[in-house]
Amino acid sequence: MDVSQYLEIFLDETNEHLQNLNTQILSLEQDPGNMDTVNEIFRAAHSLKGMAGTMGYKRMQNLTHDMENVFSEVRNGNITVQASMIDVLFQCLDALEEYTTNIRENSDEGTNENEPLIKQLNDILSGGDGSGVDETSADASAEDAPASDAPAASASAGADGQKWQEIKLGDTERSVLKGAVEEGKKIYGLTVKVQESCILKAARAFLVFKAVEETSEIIVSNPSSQDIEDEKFELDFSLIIVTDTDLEQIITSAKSVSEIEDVVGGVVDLNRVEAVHEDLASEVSAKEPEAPEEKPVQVSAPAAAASAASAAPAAAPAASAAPAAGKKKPEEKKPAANKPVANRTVRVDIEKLDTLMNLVSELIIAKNSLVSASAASGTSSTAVNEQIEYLESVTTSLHESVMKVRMVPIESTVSKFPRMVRDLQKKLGKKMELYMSGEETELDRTVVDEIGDPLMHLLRNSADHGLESAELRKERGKPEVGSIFLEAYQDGNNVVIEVRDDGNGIDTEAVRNKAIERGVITPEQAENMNEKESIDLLFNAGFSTAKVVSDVSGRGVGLDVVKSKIEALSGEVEVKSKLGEGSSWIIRLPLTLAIIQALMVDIGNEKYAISLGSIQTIEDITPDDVKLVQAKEVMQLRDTVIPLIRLNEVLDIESKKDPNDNLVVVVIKKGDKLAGLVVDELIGQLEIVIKSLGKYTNKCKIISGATVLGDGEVALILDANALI
Amino acid sequence: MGEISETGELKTVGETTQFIVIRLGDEQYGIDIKYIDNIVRMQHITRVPKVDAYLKGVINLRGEVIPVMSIRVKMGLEADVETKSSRIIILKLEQQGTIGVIVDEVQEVVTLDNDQIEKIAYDSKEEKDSFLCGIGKCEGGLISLLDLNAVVSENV
Repeated sequence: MDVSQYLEIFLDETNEHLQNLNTQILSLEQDPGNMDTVNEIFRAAHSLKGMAGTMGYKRMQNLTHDMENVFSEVRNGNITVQASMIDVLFQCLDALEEYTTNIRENSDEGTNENEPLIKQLNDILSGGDGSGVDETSADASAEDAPASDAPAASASAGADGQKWQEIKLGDTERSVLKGAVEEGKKIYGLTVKVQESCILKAARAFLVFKAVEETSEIIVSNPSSQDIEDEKFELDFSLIIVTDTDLEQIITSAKSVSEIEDVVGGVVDLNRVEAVHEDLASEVSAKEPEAPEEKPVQVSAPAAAASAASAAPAAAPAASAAPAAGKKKPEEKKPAANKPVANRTVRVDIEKLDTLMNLVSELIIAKNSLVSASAASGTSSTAVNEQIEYLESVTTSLHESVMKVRMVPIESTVSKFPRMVRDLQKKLGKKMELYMSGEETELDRTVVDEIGDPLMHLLRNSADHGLESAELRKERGKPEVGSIFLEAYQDGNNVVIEVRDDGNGIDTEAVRNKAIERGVITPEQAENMNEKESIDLLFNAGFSTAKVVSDVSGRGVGLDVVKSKIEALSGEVEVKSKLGEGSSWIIRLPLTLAIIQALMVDIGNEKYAISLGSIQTIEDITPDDVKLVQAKEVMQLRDTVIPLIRLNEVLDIESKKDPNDNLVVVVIKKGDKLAGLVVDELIGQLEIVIKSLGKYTNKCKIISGATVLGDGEVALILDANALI
Repeated sequence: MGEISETGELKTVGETTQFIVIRLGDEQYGIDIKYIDNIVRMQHITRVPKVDAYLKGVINLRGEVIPVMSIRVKMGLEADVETKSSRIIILKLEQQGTIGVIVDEVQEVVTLDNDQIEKIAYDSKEEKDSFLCGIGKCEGGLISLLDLNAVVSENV
């Protein structure tokens, strides 16, 4: 076995823990007295330390160890939480993140010792402990915490947890143990209990083995190590080990492996074992192959006396530790109880899901072929039609299920933002608060991964350019603390993510002046620009209105990147702004990327698909209903005048229709704008698989892709957004 | 079906290169076989609006949507006339990806020794839009060897 196979798990878990730490430390800053938070932080730091240790990342382990020390002191009430301490802790998290990144990239943690940070942590420790306490004593006091937990654990587990007592020893093992005792080594029995929710029990067990093997030699395990490797065990396994180290230290190191519920242990009394063995041997009992040392009390008197004598001292410290544990235990249990219990999940490679998605796409194409083949043959019986309809409903639900599998809440991406806003607040010297809602909104996995950067840009933009300084806000009669809102919600077939602030809004005049200065537009052009066009200038490459270039924003690479990234995800950005009151950036993203419901239309001899999601209504109008406004064709639809777009003209097709016939108009919407597309005929609704057209044909902006129809022909998909 | 898909086995051996000989009008052209993915019969090509004239549209090749271009239009010859012998050669290029080109006829496969190939040393200023990378000499006469990267490049 090799540790590298657990690298993925390690990285995943480390990220989770780091994220958790970020969130918890943030809430600790808000509410420094909250013991639940402190405990949760302690637990996360502790798991991190253990994981880093077992994977052999010493530097990471050292840093987390010192962080843990600080928290242990906070928990014991020796240090109070201060703002400076929170800052140091955040720096530690950044350093840990750096380690993780290094590990992810070249499976090595790097060589940064982060000594200044460790020193700062130790300063906090010594400061909190009073005057003149040096590092060693701080370390020592920290050692106390886990140490006092250990006997508590063994006590609470009680006699029934000590399964190691059931281990049978063979002759060879006994002689090894005897030899070890002669060398002055100690022999312990351990029973490790894995959490019920643990998914990779074998991996956990392996990590425990590894942790234990650092200090000691494992003589026997029950079940055998092979069985453990094959995951052939319930929730616990027992070990007999030979070591120089203290039992408590071993238990602590074994416990530091995450998802380990409990580790109990005790001293193996070789004499007792032997006595039992010899006794039984002399009795020539049939019981011999069974567990001989299982219940010492049951066997003959001398053995019982020996075991009682040895058991008594062992029991005494355990009992004395119990009351202390009674106080600590509930505290420790609480955060554990909050964790989701046994979520039955499977981690799947995203590539496998992509393959699945492609196969579903092919299936849908095949189904469409079947439908058109049966229609073309003209002999379709009701039975065939029924089966086709059934197939249709099955493929549709199959598609939906696969889509759902790929959906993840945006939470994983947005949860890092509160921390970021906090840092920005310090850096920019402005007061601000981030309000988030709709973190549970789900999006396709690939989209969620990609959306983080654009959102971060927008948030930074709001913080840097949007919000005014506290003084200015006060002058304007606004609350001193600026608000930034991040809201996500589903709107039909789209997911909308809105970044809003109550800051200054966009000064279109300043934007225009800047654009002239940069040579993006001419002064004449600027005069004719309306508000919306001015705002759109912001998305130009190389445009930044910040007067001072800071590392927060203002490098002039922000918004154009945001726009192109979101457009690459087939989404769009819209800006609404009111000078003096704030601005909002609205990102609209499609829910699915690969398969959509579309309306097929005929124009001339060609077939086109229009996404059903962008269609508002379909109207049938007479040629008289078409009016001219500023030499452009419009129609009236329930009190609103909407422009008409003749698709045959846009697409250079000769219409087959008589100009005096009624017009079929497909009304499409983009945000709150409407437009009517004039087509020749409607064909019907179809589930289509979107295929990319490739780079040769991307010059045509109004075509967003292509799809293969049932008869094998290719139809193009019209991009309603580009048409309006 | 006229499909040649085992291109892997027909690859260059030693000092020789294999070419598929195609006909465009009265001229014979050679296409290096290592770029050829497939040869398919003419089928319905879906027109894509608002693109360069040499791009005839897209076709469906086993579920994939592939652009098809006309070498004739690109080279400034008169437009293609679809006949029974017209074919679409599917090329797989490293940079441009998969693309189909329309040819009047696919004739044969020839193996040319490298000394049978004469590189064209053209003046780059004069013949900027040359689509040839060499001339091959064999029993049948001269074959103009197409420079595929120039043929399928997006610049006209």
